[in-house]
Amino acid sequence: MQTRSRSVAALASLLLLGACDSPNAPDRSSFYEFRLSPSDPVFHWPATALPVRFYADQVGALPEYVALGVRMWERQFLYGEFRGELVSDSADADVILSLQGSAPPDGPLTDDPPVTSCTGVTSVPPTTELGSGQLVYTERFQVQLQWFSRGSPSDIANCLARVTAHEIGHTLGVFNHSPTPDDLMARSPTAREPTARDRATVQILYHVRSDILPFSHGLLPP
Amino acid sequence: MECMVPRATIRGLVALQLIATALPTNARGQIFLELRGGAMLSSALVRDSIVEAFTVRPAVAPTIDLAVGTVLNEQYRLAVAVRWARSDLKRSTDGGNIPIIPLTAWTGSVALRRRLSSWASAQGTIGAVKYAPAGTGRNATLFRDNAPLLPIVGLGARIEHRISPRLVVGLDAAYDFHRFSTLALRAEGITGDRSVHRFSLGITLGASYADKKP
Repeated sequence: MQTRSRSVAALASLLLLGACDSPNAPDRSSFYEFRLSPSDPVFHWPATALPVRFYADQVGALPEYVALGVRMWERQFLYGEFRGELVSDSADADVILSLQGSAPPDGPLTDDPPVTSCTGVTSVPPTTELGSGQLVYTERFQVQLQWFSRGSPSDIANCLARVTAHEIGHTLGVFNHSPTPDDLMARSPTAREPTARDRATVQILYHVRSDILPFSHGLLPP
Repeated sequence: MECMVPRATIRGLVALQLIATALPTNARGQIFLELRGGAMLSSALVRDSIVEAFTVRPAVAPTIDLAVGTVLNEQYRLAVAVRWARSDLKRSTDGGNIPIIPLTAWTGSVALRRRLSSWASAQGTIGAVKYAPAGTGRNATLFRDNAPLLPIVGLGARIEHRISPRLVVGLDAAYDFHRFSTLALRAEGITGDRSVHRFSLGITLGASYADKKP
């Protein structure tokens, strides 16, 4: 009888422990519009296309900046919504990043204040409609980066790393710029990595339905 | 918080050792080895809501358990066991399941088993579970900063049939409980631990050896 009482007490303790569930949902209310216009279709990489394959021109430290940027964006997710990897052949890539001109001067990344010594632009590919009405990109994403002789070698390196991460953000589907200058996805970014607003925005983007499929030779009509 | 885990396990091991020492010794000297195969169902590790509510849980996982133990007396047995379970961690919404990453759960436990009749027994377990995500994709998951080692407590029941003087086959049902969180979840603002309940069913093949007659 005593043993049975003990067993019942042990079971009750377990159930009580189980009842003490108090997880708090995070606040993701601070985000910005990720489409250029609210009527635009939404794009994000589908789970079936992961990991997204990035190719970087072997110029200066560009491959290193791309790897940093991809890792930075991966860390904005908790549930495996986005993964990327670098590939060595541009023919295998979903996104191609190139640096115009010669290699920039060699300089380490530092915490110095940002200097605008580079620019970048992401070309969002055109779409076509498949027979089913489904939109699909007809080309890969292309990112062009350019650096200027302004500031120290570290200023140029910091700028290229920052702008590369910003452009990778566009290739994830954040086609708009953040209205908050502190965000990585602001038009002229000064942040070195995504902020809480950038994170909330990209998380929300990856939990709404994507209207466009990524480029794939197999999907397009011959 | 994490440093408490091994301490809790050590406390449990010491407690079980004290119990074993205090029990009568007339059946000592017999050891047994058990191999168990089965399946495990786990409740959600995380509940979250981004645009819509979803849960994150391991899919039903095949399990393999290996246990070694000793007969303490006619009623009690003490066993140390390790369990391997592997399946996909999945995000589940009303629209379906999306795999996140392959996830292995290693569970180490100490069990005190009490014979209820010639063919049935019940057990209590304590131990720890270690989640081990596989592959290169963990950077984009809740396991990006750590894969925690978490204390567990559990209960189990078994019916068994002796097929030879040394061999036993049994049908097991087990339940265990632990609290779950990771550094990445806390950093995101999911600050409370979540209770995780796991149920498993399995078939055990056990062999016993006596180094002296009881």
